[in-house]
Amino acid sequence: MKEKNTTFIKLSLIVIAIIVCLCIYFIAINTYKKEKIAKDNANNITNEKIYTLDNYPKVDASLSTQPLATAFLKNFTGIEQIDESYFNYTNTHSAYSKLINNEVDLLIASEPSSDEIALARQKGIEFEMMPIVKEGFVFYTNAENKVDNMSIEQVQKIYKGEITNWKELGGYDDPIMAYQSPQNSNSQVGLLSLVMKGSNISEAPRENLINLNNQIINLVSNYKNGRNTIGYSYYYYANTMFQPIDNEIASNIKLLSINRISPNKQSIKNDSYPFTTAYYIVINKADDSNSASRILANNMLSARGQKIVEDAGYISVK
Amino acid sequence: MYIKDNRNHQNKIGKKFIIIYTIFIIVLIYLTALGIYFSINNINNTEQTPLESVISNVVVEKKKTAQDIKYAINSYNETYDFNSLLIIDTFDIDGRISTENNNTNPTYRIHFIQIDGLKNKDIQYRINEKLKQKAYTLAFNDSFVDTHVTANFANMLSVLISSEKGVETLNIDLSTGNEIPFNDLFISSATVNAYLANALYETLAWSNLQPGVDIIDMTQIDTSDYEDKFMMLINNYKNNINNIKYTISPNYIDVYGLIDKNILDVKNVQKMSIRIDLIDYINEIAMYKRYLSERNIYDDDSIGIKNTIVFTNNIATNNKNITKISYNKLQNNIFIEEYLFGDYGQPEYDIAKEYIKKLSDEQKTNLINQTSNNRGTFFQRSYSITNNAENNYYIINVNSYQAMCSINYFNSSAFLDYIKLKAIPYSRRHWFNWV
Repeated sequence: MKEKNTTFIKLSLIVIAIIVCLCIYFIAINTYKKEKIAKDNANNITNEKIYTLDNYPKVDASLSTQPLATAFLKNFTGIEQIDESYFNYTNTHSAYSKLINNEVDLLIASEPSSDEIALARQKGIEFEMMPIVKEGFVFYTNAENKVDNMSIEQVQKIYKGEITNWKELGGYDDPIMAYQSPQNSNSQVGLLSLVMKGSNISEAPRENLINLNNQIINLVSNYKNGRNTIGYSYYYYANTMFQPIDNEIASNIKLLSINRISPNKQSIKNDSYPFTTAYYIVINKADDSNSASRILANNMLSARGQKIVEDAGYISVK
Repeated sequence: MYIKDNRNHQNKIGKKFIIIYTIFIIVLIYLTALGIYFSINNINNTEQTPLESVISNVVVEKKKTAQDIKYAINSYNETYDFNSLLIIDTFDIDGRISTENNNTNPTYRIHFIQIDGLKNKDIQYRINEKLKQKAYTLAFNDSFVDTHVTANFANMLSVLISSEKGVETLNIDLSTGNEIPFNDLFISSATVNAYLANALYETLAWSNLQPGVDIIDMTQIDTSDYEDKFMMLINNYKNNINNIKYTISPNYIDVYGLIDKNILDVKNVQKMSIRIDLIDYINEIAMYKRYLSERNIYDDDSIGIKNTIVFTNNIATNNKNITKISYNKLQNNIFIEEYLFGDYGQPEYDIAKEYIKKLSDEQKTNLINQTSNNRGTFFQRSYSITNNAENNYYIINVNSYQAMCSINYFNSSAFLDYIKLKAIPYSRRHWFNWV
């Protein structure tokens, strides 16, 4: 009898322990969920208008970030249909010139070149740069390619012409068709600065176009997806270009992981992916806290602004 | 003694239970903590784009494969049929409707086409109304409107209507009378943005042509903003996605209205098109098969030319005075093309045409005898007939070209080279013997 009591007590202790642990688990998860909702609410992501077209600061943007600049404008003014004549975007270099000459209040652009920094110094201006968008430099190939991952060294060797067959990377026995981007394009500059870091690259595949008048144009071949192909560009550009007609359908192009890190919004945001960079809000450092540029910059960097970044297809910094 | 031993034994069991129970509690706490950690991670999971989800470590819903992949072309030696449709050129010249364009000095002339030959006359009527109305849309702003048929095959009809001031396009599924959405030309996994970018790339390259210069090396041209222009084009495409103007042909798709002055600052930029070269995207092209139907939709299905190789345009459709004699695989390893150039409707040419048929039959027998099972042959021949001034004798002019290759190459790659060869201007073509 006594033994039976002892066994019952032991079993009861075990069951009580399990019940207590389950209670702790569910309480913890529910508490976390409530805190998350409260945090999101505290950020007050609303869509109320905070500007009109008339009082919206003058903004310029590099071509890659013009869709983002437009997205901010539309959200902050609450106006969806804006006449194209309103937009006076130029490109990166012209935008920096306009900021230096006080023709615009704020830019969304890539880093300034040394020439642009020097020009600003001449005019007594110092840029203040705040990251607004994270960007990754990615490599892509046909979805049927057996190779999913490469090391940084392997990527460099492909573009130096030292690795020429996919079987050297564990893939099919196929010569690597390493497409390149047009000379001096954003992607080409990105390859040289972020990946190759000063190493020489092999000559790009080229082709001839011939017209009915027998005139020939010899040009760098643009990426055309095949089983043995590899190409590169920035993450936003790649996602835009290689988006299938139907987003529910698997793409026939895949992004390669580098050093076993897959390029996605998380790994680019937290810099675990090896090739990352950013686009910046750029203003005059001398602008005070009540200036139009600084207020707009703060709005862009707020939770609402970061949601606009995500909704526009870019990677937010927060 | 017995009682003391028993007590000692029970104490040992009790201590053992406490130790085991303590270990159990520690494991339980560890498992609870692990469960909380993974659940919080799951709550914080971020959204993924279609590209990254292919190889992501995070468990995501598996993407579907394209259901319409069945419409894709799988091999360059597949064929298509031209439609058995009559195309009637119709003119509204100063208010008079006629099939004759015989007014040399009209105030206005609107050229549109009408079709005849569909079994379903209601659909035919609706299509004819659309063809007419589209031409008159341009006529609102301009006095001279022309219509050009760019595609009449695989149950599709594509027309380009143009005037001094602009262009309109119309693409019709002949089996239903409905307009064909641009994206339906491709299978649903196609990356159309990239195709448009490639098409713009070639357009931008061609824009660098200079008079008197035959060869341009693009490394000497500033291409630094080309990718930016590709993105501008894609934005224009997305903004107009429900109203894309385009025409199709067996080998390319021309897309209009996506280039603006920011992309290319030229005169009449609104009439400029970019050309998607279909041969580059063979596995993504759905248009050849999407609109085919099991039932015959034509009154007389024998009119249209059959079995034309995909991505090629049969020369006979472009010229009324070219008669196709052969355009088919003679047997699995022989492909033959024969044309008669010229208008030989008069009875006096009948003897010459009989002789041409005899020459053609002899050549076919020769080809079969010459081509062993491990070889493939492409054969092209043109005939024309000339006669002397007194018409007492005729000369049959024959030009022949032949290329042979291994059977493996014939089956795998030869048709791709054949298609590309047809795209090269005649003066730069050469036939060669594959080994």
